[in-house]
Amino acid sequence: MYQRNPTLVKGVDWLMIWLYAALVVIGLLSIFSVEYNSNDSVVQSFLGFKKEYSKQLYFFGISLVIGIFILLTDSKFFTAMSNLGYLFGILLILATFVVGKEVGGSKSWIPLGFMNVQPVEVCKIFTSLALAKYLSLPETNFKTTRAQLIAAAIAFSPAILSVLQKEPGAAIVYFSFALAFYREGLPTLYLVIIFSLGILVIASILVSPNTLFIVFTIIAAILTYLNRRRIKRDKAILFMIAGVWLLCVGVQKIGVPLLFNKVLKPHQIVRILSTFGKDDYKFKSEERTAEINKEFAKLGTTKRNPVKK
Amino acid sequence: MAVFNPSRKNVVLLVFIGMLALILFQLANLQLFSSKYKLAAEDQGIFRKVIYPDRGIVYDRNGKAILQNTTIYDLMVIPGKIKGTDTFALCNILGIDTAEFKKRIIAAILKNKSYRASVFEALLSNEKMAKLNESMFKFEPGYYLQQRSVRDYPFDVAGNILGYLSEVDSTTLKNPKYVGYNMGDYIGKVGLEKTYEKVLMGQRGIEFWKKDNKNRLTERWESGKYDTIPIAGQNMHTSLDIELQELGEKLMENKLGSIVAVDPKTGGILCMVSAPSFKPKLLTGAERRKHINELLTNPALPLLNRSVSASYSPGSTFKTLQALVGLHEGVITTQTQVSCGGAFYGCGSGKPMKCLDYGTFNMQSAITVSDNTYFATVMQRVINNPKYPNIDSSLANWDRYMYAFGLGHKLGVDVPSEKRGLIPTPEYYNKAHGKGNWNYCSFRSVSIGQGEVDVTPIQVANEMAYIANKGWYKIPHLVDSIEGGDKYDMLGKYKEKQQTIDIPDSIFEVVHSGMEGVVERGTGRRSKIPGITMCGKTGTVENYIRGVKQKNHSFFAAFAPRENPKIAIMCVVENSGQGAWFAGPIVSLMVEKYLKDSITEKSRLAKIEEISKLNLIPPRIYAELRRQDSARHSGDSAYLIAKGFIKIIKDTLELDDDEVDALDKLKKDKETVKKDTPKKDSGNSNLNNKPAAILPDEKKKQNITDTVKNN
Repeated sequence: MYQRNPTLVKGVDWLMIWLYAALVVIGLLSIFSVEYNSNDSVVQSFLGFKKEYSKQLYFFGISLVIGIFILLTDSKFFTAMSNLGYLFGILLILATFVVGKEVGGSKSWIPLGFMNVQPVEVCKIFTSLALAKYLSLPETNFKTTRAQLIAAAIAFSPAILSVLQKEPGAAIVYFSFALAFYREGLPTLYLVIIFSLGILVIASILVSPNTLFIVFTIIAAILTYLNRRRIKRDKAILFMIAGVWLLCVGVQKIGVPLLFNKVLKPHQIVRILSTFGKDDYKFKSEERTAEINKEFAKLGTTKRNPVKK
Repeated sequence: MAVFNPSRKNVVLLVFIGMLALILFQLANLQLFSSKYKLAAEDQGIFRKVIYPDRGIVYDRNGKAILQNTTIYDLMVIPGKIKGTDTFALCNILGIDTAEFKKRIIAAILKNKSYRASVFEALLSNEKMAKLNESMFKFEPGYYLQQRSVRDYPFDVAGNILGYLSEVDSTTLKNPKYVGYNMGDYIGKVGLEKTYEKVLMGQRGIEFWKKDNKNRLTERWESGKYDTIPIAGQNMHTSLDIELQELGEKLMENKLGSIVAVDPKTGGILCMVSAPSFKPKLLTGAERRKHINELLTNPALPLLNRSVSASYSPGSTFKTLQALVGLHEGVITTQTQVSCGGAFYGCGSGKPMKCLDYGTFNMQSAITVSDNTYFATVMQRVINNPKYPNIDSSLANWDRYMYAFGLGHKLGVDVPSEKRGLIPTPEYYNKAHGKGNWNYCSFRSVSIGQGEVDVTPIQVANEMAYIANKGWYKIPHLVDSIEGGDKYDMLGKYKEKQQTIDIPDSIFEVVHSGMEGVVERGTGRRSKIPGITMCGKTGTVENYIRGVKQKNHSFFAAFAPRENPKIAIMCVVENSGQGAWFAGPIVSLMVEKYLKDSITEKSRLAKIEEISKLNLIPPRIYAELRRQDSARHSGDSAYLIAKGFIKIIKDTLELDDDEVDALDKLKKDKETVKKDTPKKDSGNSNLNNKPAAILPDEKKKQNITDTVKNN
């Protein structure tokens, strides 16, 4: 009977491995389902390295070997190398400003001849390690503002550089570190604010601007009514309600439209809209609408290859 | 060091669970409940391949296929698989250089990516096909031949009436009549291909194919369970006599005009020649685009079917109808005599309407010699008939006759773009002159087929059928029957007799005699056919372009034989001269060919060649061609001047002064050409200034004035 070698697998996060394996299998099956031809031999085509799913299978195999090596590597190695890695990652991002190649309007790629590398993606690993190392330091007290600021600087520096490279989509990913910060002791209010902003952005996409404006105003009015006695005592509450109302309206009326019309790229907008099942966002210019429609068309073959009836 | 906080870990877990739940909820919604993306997903995974059926075959009256299908090949390329191919050999076969080769490959990659097939060269010519077949093995698997069905014209005549196919355009797609068509489909553009599109196209089949992630078709979906097979278009049998059509087109070479012949008993069109015409095969092959551009810019308008789309003054052929009206209205008898003293003086002052044959004529002899005065008098009596309270009602009564004869309205022939012609009404003159300000003398030239009246060649041929049948006609048509039945009820109207006015046979007999006299001893005696009694009528039609008188149109209309007529025919040769000179002899040859099946007599065969070689294209057409040519050269010169090449030529060659001047003059070419471009008619020309033929794009804006002509 198979028995785990307790020394070899010690400390391995099996749940994570199974989740990873499950995701890879789902991905492989998805590719297989669109490329599968019943005339092909499944085994041969899986091993032939001609089909996309075959290539992905080989990549999975390579990753598996690398993964095993990583898992078998002493964790101290990562602790020791994390800061250096982070520095290397930042330098790579900075290098793109000089030697970067422009792909799809963003100058965030470094050409290596046989392939292109996007440092901001690579830097996610280094940032995670550097952040983990910093938070694990015995002298780190995350309840102090200083620690929070340093952690934020580590986490968001690549994100800021990414925005400067006109790749805001990659920057958004870095905001997920907020959850790690929360776990480590970031005041709940920050998380509430971040999630509220997220919900506000989603609501701005899903609900028509005027309806949302009315909803915000009604909520503000109700809150004012309910707190009327406290407001009499402390006017600051009224200003706070008004401030939050103004912020919400600002985000909804100015922030999100600015994000969608000026900041995000068409493919990023399409990803966001698709996630929420929307395909009819009202953009300010016809050019922008045309760009988004073009991007939507790329998603499906419907518009590219009209069905003949 | 941060303190591990299990409760916060749970919050983070909850956040993830919440987000996962949201995604699962949306996934379930899209997969199980919403149909929003169902069609898109099906489109992404399944391809509906339309299988086009063979179009129906069209036969002539003798069962000869005149429009059928043939197979032609496209050379396809998969750019991703052409590595190692002998590109040089392929370029040699196709007659292209490497730059063109690269251009096509890039275009293919841009259009369909490098792993999908694209058309490298469409509609390969027979010559290229033969060469490719020999060495195709060298170019596989990057290149392959794909067959497609195209239309074939075994006789390569009758382009205007058979029509051609063309890719459906956006305007057609918007038309609810053509629902179901998509961009890239082919549709009948003109002629029978257009009119009988529904019949000829058949029913398309659909094959469902699975697509892979790169849009490549992989295999049949559900093993073809839901596929439908295409059903070929229905074959059609026409009344057209393809040999007669060939002869007609030969006779009309180097001429502008039309010949239309119908079977008076059935209304079946025996031939419909529009000159100049075009070889329909030119519009099916690889160089279709080039040819169609040439045809579209040709000032002689070869794509225009003059037989139904051009209208002319009918000239003296119209007099036969005046005879019928006059006799039926009782304003004259067969013995009524009118004298020609040189002109018609019935309108007193003003320019008299001349007549050529001095003397006194009765109805029959007036038709025979085509006496203007006689028919001006007849129509005067019809219009001024005291039976009617005013000129409005008498002219309306005259109009009733004309409509009954098939004029002034579309007959409903099964060839597209038919025009109605013009029969002037009281409203027309009221508008032109003001109510009460006109009388018969205002339009007396109508009596001899000039002035406001306009007819199309098909109407004149039909008019002859009406006279031949002694008072009825069937709507002229090309298609007699459809194999498998007339599912769309397109032929029903062609079986019905059109007879709205009952004119006694005795009246027709007089007209017949007069028309027989035309051929036997009258104005059309050059058209006499040995052994055949033909009744005919000449017409010499005056015409003007922008006020400038052009050479007369030659008209001849006839039916034969007199007893039991089998063919009613008309011919117009634009700007050629008198009716007796050209149209008459052409009609006589056509009638002989049809009735005797062949022309064997040497002198008659020689006549065919003589007429065929006769160039009667009006000089204005050549002038326009020269102008177009000049415009093209002007463009070239402008380019050379802009690039400085003209200067180089001047610097490097020792030119005579004249030549230097000529080069300098080139600089002004563009302006000169612009100035030469004809401007739109100001609309102030009078009726005398009628165009040579009223073509669909020419608007009739003439003022109404009297015309006096001699026929």
